[in-house]
Amino acid sequence: MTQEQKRDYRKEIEDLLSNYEDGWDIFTKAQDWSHPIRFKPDAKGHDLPDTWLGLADRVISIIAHGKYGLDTYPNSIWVITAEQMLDAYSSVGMPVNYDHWSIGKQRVQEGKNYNAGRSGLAYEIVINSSPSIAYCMTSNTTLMQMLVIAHASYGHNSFFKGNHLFRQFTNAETIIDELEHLRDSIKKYEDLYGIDEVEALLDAAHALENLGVNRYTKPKKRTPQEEAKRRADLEEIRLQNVNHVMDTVRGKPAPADDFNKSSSNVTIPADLEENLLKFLASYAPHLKEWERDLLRQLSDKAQYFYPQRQTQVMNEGWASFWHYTLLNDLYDLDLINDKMMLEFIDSHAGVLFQPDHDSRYYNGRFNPYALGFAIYQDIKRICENPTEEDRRWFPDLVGKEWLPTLKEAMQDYKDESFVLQYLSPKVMRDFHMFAVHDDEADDELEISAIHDDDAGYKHVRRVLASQYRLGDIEPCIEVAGYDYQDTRMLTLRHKMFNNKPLDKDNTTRVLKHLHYLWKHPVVVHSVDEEDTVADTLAIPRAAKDEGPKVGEKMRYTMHLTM
Amino acid sequence: MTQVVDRRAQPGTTTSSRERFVRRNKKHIKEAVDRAISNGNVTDIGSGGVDVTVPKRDLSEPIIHHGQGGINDRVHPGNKEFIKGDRLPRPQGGGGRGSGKGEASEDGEGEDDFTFHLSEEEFLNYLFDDLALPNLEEKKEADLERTKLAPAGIVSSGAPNKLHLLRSKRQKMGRVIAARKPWNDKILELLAEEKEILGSYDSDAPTEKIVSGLPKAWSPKRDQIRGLEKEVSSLKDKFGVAVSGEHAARIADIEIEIAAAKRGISLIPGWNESTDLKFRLSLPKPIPNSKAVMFCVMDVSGSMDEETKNKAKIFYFLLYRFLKRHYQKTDVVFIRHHTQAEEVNEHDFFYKKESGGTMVSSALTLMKNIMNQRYNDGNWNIYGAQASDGDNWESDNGKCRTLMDDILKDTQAYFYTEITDGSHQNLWRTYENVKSAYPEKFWMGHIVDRKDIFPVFREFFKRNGKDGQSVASQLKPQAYAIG
Repeated sequence: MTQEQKRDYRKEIEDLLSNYEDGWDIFTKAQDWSHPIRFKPDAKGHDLPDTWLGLADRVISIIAHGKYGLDTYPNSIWVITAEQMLDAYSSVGMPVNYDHWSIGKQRVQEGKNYNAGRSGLAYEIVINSSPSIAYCMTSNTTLMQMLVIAHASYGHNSFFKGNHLFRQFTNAETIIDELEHLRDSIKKYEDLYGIDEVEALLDAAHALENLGVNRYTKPKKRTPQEEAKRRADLEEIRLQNVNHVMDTVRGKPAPADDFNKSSSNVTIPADLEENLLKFLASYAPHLKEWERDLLRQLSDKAQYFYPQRQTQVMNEGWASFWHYTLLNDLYDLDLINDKMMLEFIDSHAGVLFQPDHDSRYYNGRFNPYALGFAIYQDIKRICENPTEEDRRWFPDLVGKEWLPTLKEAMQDYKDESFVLQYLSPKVMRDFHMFAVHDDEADDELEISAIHDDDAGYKHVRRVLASQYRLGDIEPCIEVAGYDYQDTRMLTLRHKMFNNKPLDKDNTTRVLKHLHYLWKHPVVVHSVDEEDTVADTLAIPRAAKDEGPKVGEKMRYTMHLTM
Repeated sequence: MTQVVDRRAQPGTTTSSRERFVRRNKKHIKEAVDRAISNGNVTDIGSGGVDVTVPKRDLSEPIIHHGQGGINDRVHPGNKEFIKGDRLPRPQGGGGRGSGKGEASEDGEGEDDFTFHLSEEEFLNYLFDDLALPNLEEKKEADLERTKLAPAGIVSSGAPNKLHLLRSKRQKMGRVIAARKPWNDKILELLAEEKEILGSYDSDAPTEKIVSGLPKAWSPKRDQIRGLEKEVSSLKDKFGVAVSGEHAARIADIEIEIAAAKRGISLIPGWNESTDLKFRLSLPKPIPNSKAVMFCVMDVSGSMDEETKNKAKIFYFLLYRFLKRHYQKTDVVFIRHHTQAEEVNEHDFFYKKESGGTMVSSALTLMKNIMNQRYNDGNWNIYGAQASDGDNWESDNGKCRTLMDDILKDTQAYFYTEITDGSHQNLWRTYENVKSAYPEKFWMGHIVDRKDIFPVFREFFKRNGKDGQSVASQLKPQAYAIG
């Protein structure tokens, strides 16, 4: 990253605030965020913020950009009520949504939890779009608003813009347009084909959403010409099929032998092999064109959310690091007072609370805010004040400038590799981490490592990193076969990770949805490293008997081309 | 550049998704509604909404995830006493996790149930979905006998008494102003020129050139002209004698032209009848007659036990809510009877207890009397609804049959519900005759159990697919106009 021109951020803030009657005290004086803004008669500058929130944002932005050189999308701050926050909750924060019962259900649930006092509301939600939209609740205190702006509009925002997964897999400039297009398409199809038809398709697609993303390769955008050609080719293939059927009816000789071979001429491009929604959109035998269109659009939407699942620790940690740093800067500049600082420390500690494994608040996972924040803080510490241990573990970090190092750690990793690369013995000690080995074959659990020696640290780190591995978070399922000639059976392969089975009940229900779209038998084989089948689920159940049995090797019925 | 947007006034974004959610759970809502009707107090049914319970499974959205088993390596925080190699028993219900993910039931729901609250509005929506009383509005225009003149805009011809003074004056002024404009512009131009000529003799005048002579701020042309004329005449007083030669000739020309222009203005007609006059237009407009009266007739005799009365009450409750919902002006007359009939208020109708024998004809007579006294001006659509256990004095049935002829003559429809768990009683058989005589006006339903009430109610009012009108609305309602 190029070193930005060092800006005199203090002077910039002075110049800015000198235009206001409240001057330097404007943040400490305000009772709430609707505090009136009064310009001095000699105020100059054409784009002076005219709201308190706008001014808070401007000051934070001067520090974030001027002092730390954070690179962000433009910001849009939306002031909303608690009810609207619940709405946003129910729709993953997205400002544009199509109508679906699941959102209605989620809203009921959120409202119930909130009204029962079971859950508070997050202070903010922020959208990976350009401009990046941050929701600020109207009930937040002045300090909370500043915290939210620092956390969301500068922390998360710079993460969205900087992290390679987001850069690669999402498009912040167009997401809102895409969502609008999706919503409008659904509305149109509902008018044309009825709400029930569309709802059934959406239900099925939602069940498959996790399987509807490209995990390893960025989906290639086709040019309009390519898309047109592809459609024409598909149409050709479909017509060929029909012709063969007609030929048999007319008593013509059966097509050439090679056509009847089970590995026929259907070739599935590699990027469709892992993206089930796109695969269905292209190859499901009986879908109508509008259904294919929706599946493609929903796959794009799933793809947009895909990086978020893999960067939770990094993303929340990064945002927390920056709200902490920026709020401390405001305090150092005397822009916020001791009272506000105490409130901040209290909130900060609440957000970063990490319950112990035996606490009733522990949910089985690390608090991503706490873990991420600790690691970023630790990187900074290693750069500036390394210990002997750090010199051994992180020779590359010691003595480096902390800011570029930190940005690099944000840009080039995802949770798994981030933990593997940067989790230090000190952080492991601070969290009192220990690793538990749980093997089905064993009656008891075993403590496999604790934070004691190098071997222990390495083991703990490796295990923790693997917890964030995609294959561990969710089952890895790919299209493995399409019996194009005979039964039209669709075969999926679940590559087991650590022999973990699929949840039978849920998987069967998802397969029903898949069957609704495919309309021919669908089957999923769980296979081990040697491609030996360990378990099989199928809809309809009878289809289970057609493929390989448990203990047999997988069979493939189609060519895959790269 | 950051934007701050205050969106607090924006409507909720999940409203239509909630409709979808409610729609998806119709089956469960029906159960809840049935339960509310069966268990609730008559006047409380649906007030404040109802809770609907849905099995969680119906609402869960499956996604593929890992099940129990296999090898799970996990790192946890907060080690206190463990060292490497320690072995511990596997906790129940989770692979080494501190606490399970299962949600405890905290408001009395079973773990497999999901409860949501249906608001009163949604409850009623559901209840009356697809139902319509014989709908007056849909038929009114075809059947209108009288109309009322209603304002229908402004036209340029009409009777003198319809003259719209304000609009006519406005029209005239607009025309005159437009017609004067070229003359006025010309006068202004000429005056400016004259002023400039005269001004050139003024040695004290500021040296900068007078650009147009027109004032910067807008003012009516007439004021501008007056202002300029004043300036010109004062200049003329001062320097008029000094002007000579070419200038004097030009000024003389200018003054002639101004006079001509002024004459032009004076020739603009003040009132032009063909274009200026505007008249109010009134056209006859059909008047919707949404006045309806519903006669609720109920048997409260000794043979009607508490539960039977309750069923009747529920039926009327539904009817009552339905009417209040659909008609702006709806009268409801409550008539209760045993051997004698009396008109009562809503509360007494539902709650006051009495006993005795049964003479349906007493109620029908009273209904007919009230119709004649209060609803006989031809403006009312009259509906009758009767609930009974069907038990009537045998000798009274013939009288009922005759009275029915009389009543049906003036009513749009008459609904009879028999509430009995046994076989049909004698009144039913009497009414079957009525039904065959008036198949379009007379409706009968049989309620045994509380759960029958709603289907019968729906049967009366359900829309029949084709024209979207209720079965009952196939009858031709009388429509009247309010003078």
